[in-house]
Amino acid sequence: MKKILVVASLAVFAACNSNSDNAKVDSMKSGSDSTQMDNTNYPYTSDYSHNFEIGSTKNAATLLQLYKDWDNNTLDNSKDAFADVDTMYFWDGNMFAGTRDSFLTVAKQMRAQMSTVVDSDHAWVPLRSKDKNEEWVLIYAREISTDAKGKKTSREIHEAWRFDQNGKVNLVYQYGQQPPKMPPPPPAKK
Amino acid sequence: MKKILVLVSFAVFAGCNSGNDSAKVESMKSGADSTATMPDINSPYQIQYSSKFAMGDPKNAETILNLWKDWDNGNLSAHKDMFADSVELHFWDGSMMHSTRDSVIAAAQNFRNSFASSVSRVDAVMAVKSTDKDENWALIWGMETDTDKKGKVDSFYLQETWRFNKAGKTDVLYQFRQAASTAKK
Repeated sequence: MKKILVVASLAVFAACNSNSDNAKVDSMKSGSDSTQMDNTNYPYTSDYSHNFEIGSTKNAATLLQLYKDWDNNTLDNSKDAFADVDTMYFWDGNMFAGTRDSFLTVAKQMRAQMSTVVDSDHAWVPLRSKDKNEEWVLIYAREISTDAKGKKTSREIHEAWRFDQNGKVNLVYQYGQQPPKMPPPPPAKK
Repeated sequence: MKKILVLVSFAVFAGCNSGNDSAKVESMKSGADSTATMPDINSPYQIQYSSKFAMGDPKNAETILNLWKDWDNGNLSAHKDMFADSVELHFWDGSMMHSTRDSVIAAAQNFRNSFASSVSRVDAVMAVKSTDKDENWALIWGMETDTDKKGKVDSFYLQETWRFNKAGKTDVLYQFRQAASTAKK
């Protein structure tokens, strides 16, 4: 799902902690030893969280199906995956905040401008922030879209999707990476 | 470390699997009970790299935070030893660099020197491990505000995904960016 018009207010991945340096960070669990405490003096305080564990794969399944419905242009099939109010921040600086119905309307308008969309998923990770008690799914993907005139666009994307206590999406942060640039060809010999 | 000139070829976070739909994804461990196997899900996508992760070594998250601080401080050599001998960086704008540690640090330092200041805010950081690929990663989200030598300020959100080798040195970076919108703090 790509750029959609700015609508309303905001919600932030970052919480509102102070930003003192050399913050003491407690309890980031290691997969190899889940009782391990991390008392490292990190050079930054995390505004949102540094305290995560692996989350629900059910949310990952929801997200992957949502991706498939985006690709297939059948977004209505994933309507129930969204909370009543949704906020999305897109890679280009646009954002959307509004009701599920208004979001789906705008998203479908955007999707209709593309004849095909093919996502290739590199990785996904369900996570839970233990201190914020919030569930997230991270996903890395390559999206290749073709517009109505046949022009193809490819982009690597990373998205962080937040799920509420009912397993519904209510917040998305999207980041982009442009396609690889090739070095300029050497100058022609005279 | 930000955009630097393209140098060589590239390797992808994705592996090289075919696009078989409805791939069965197995056994993802839960952090709440690191010995428990998570229920399988029927993924409508073949996952190209991995869908099997556990929480990783926090030391790797610490390394990335130190590298970010070195960038802010304008001294990229301060934790030179945290890089592997060969480093591959994929930047948000499509440029990439694959070279020796010294070359990468020199190029990055040269780019950093073009700014009067750079200030980062960290929103979230974590370390994860792909259990099927047996590779360690650190993920970081934050905002960077750069001021060039003419006083022009540019802010943007970054997500960086750093891989660590068996010696605990970072050898690959994938960088993603989100433009800062006026509505967002």
